[in-house]
Amino acid sequence: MSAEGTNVPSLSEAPLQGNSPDGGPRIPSEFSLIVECGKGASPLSAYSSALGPIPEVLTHYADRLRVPFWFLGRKNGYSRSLRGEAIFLHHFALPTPPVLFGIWPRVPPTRLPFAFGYPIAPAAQQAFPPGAQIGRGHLLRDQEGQGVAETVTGNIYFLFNLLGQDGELRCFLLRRLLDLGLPQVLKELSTLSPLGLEPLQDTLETLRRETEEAATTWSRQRQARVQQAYLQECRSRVHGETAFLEQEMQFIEDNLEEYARRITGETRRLSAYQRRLNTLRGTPSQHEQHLKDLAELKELPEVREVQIQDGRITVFTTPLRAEFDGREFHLGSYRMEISFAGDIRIHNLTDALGAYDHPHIYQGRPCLGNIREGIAKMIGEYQIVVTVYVLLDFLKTVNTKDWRIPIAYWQEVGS
Amino acid sequence: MTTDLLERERAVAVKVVMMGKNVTTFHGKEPLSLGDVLAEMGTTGNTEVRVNGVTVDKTHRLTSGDMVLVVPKIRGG
Repeated sequence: MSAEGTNVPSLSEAPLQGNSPDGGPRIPSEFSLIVECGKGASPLSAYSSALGPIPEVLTHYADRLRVPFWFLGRKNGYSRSLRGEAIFLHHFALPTPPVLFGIWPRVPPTRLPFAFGYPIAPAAQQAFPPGAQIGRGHLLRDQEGQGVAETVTGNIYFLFNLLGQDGELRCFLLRRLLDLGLPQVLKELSTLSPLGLEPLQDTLETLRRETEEAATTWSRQRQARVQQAYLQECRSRVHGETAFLEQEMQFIEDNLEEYARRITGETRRLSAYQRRLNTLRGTPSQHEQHLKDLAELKELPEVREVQIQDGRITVFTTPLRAEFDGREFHLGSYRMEISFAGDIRIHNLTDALGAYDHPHIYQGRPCLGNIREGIAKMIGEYQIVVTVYVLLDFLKTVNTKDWRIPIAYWQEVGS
Repeated sequence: MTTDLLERERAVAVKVVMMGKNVTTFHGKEPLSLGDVLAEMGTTGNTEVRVNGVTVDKTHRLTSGDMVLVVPKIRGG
């Protein structure tokens, strides 16, 4: 094979310029890549891996069209049009010098954020704008009207930095450029290829459809990857926020317990003063009433046993049930420990679900919701029996909005 | 004197616990219903009421020594 007017070294002979940012070999500023077709073609492994899918795409087109391709790169953006037994593809170059005398920007570079609808890598958006300078070729535009290539008799010039894009995008951009440019050099193709004009046109149409299908598939894959990444990000955010909220809730729970203890203490102080006042006024003691209350407590059908020791009253319940949504659930038997200091612990003795003793109790610590302050006051007033009444009601009530675990995890009565 | 004794026999004293507010002893005359006590105490409808730990109707007749518990509708946290 020969080409008039070119002495550019082949890519394998060109010196490599250090490493690319991703650690791979960098593409030299000047190179030529010859892609033959048929039996004389080089294996794909002969090409530099830095070129990504370029050799594969060109080999595919060369085999299908039975035409060799030369892929050329020049460092100053000027690449003379060539004539020979190949279709010449000039990477990021013009058929006329874009800079004269090394200083005058005859064709000032511009930026191309999108080509063929694909976003171009921000670091490689340089492009040559369309122009009417002497020596410019026939401009080719993508579907959005952006000038992306020029043709000059058997030569196709890429007006943007194709090799600056990542591998997958390179493949589709190159295919799109070939699908756009090759029909413009059909005359030269027909002289180079043993195929006739019509088969060539059919093959170009087939290749174009292949590109469309591959691009559609790639677009779907990219969309799926984006969705996956988005879901991952959402999960991560939810996880982070959940951890934060749990930590905050724990902090608030601790605060509330402290406040409850204070309410108990203050209420007790108030009661003590009230009792002292009653004594001074001659009101009878309430001790008898307390004893009567305790006897009533033991008579409650849900109370199995009552113990009093170490400054707290412990109540063992019979198996309790809670009704929710027209269904009844078996929650089990509980041990309620009501400290006279104001602390409350409730443990499920028979049907705890891990650390959950009840939809509103975690590790024995009840979240009393809207009755917390009232309970604290009642303990402060030594209204222990009433407190047990309310706690029994609490155990038999669930609130879907704030429960920590759905009641459906407990066994339904009759199931 | 006899009238006083009759009055005392007819009087009904129930303990009313309004959770989070106060504990009082309510004195009324027979027949005393739960509805009478609640109306007198000015409780709102957004509460649950138990008499001796049991839910009863407002027409339930109270006797001396009963304990009326008025709690807000319980919403566990």
